Amino acid sequence: MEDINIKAENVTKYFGNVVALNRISFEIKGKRIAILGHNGSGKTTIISMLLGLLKPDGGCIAINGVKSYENHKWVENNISFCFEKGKFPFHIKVSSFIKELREIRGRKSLVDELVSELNINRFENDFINELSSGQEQILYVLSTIASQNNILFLDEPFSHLDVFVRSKIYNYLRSSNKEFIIATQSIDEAELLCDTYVILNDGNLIWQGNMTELYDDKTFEVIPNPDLPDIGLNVIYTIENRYICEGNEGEFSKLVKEHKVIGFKRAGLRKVYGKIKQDY
Amino acid sequence: MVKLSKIIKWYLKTIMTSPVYEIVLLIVVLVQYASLFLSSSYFMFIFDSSILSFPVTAVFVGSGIFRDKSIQIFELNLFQSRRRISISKVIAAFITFIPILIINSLILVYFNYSFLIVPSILSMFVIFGIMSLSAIYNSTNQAITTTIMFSFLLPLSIEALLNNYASMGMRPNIVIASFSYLFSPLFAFYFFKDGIISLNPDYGYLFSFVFASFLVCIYILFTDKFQIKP
Repeated sequence: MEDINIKAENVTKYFGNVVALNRISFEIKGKRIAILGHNGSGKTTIISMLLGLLKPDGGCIAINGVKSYENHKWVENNISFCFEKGKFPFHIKVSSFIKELREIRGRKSLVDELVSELNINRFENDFINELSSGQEQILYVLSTIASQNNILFLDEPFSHLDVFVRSKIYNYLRSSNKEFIIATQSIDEAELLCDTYVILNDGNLIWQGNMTELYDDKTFEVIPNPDLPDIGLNVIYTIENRYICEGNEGEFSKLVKEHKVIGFKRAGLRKVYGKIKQDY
Repeated sequence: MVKLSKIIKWYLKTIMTSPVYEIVLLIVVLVQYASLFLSSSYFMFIFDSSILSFPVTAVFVGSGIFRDKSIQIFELNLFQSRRRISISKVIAAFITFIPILIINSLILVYFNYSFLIVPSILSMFVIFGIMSLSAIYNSTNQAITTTIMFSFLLPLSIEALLNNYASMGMRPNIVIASFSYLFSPLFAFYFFKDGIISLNPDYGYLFSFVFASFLVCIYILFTDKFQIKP
């Protein structure tokens, strides 16, 4: 498994008067990269450019030295992708689609394994137009991860999926030897699956880095005990009802024993994200 | 790499699995048969085919290959080649046109109008070219609207234009005559027989064949130049 290398230089993209990406420059290397950001931050635009679906209006962006929008063949031979909501062109039975997929992908055993793992059997006799959006999305994800291509681009692919299916796909992705790039809003998902991160906000690059850089200092994410609001530590900021504090593991263990906090862990990506929220 | 035959099968399935396909075939047969059976002139056949049967066929077949952007992206991921997808769409649409072409030709032979086979096939081929090029849109609605507009309005305009020339006792110049063959070989042929157009149909047919082929080629060659915003 080789690293994915993305290099962006002054990438700009407009949709009408809206600036989707504003002269973004970064260079990042990693096997599993997360692109994080709120709605409209530019995640899908970057993914689309890396897939060659869109061209930048200014600057250039390349993956492994290849400008995808100039070399579709390279993308077609190396990358499989999945966007937030898949749509099927016609209404056939799920079992017929799986049969087609076995033929198209030429990987019968993998498709069968994933069908059973993702519990697709339970709705394989239904027609695709009768499926829920989550079930439809499972088929889309299945068609992507069953591909022979080594790089996967996943743009918020799990947003309609239930927690059980999600965890099975997480396990598959973590144990597979595929490299991938995920665009997501979920800090937990990014932390669980990826080792390298790009964080965007309103078309601007906010932060980029890897796991080592994230866990370099003594910043912890603390879940306070609501009955004892004073946890006796300097809170840097709060995010999603959690405190981001500085300290060491000994101090936090002591607070857990005293029931002042319910739990704590290294702040990781949440720390960076909290800082962004504070700054913007 | 996914085999071309598999992609063609996928698009054929979209078109053929629709029960509307049989209905469209029936409409074409009925309209063409009725236009020759109930009328003493073959003009009704040309008129009905040009503004009803052929455009209906094109819109129906087109709706089987036109795709909204989310489906285009899904299929691009599935088949992993823009070029192969566009070639497959054209081939699948062409295969779907074949039964209609055969029925059309058989009806003409049955009524002893075999000389209309070539211009009617070419008229359908021109509409096929317009339909293929319309598939370049990322929106089914836009593609269908364009196909309807061009496949229905162009022959009608040519008919109106040549009728005006005829009523004024004038003959269109070579450019207008060529355009008539480009957009509606059937009407151009009719007006040639009537002595309004002097351009030899053989040249006209060549123009329309080259024009339709050109439209199909543009679609195949330029399909990967267009951006798709997810």
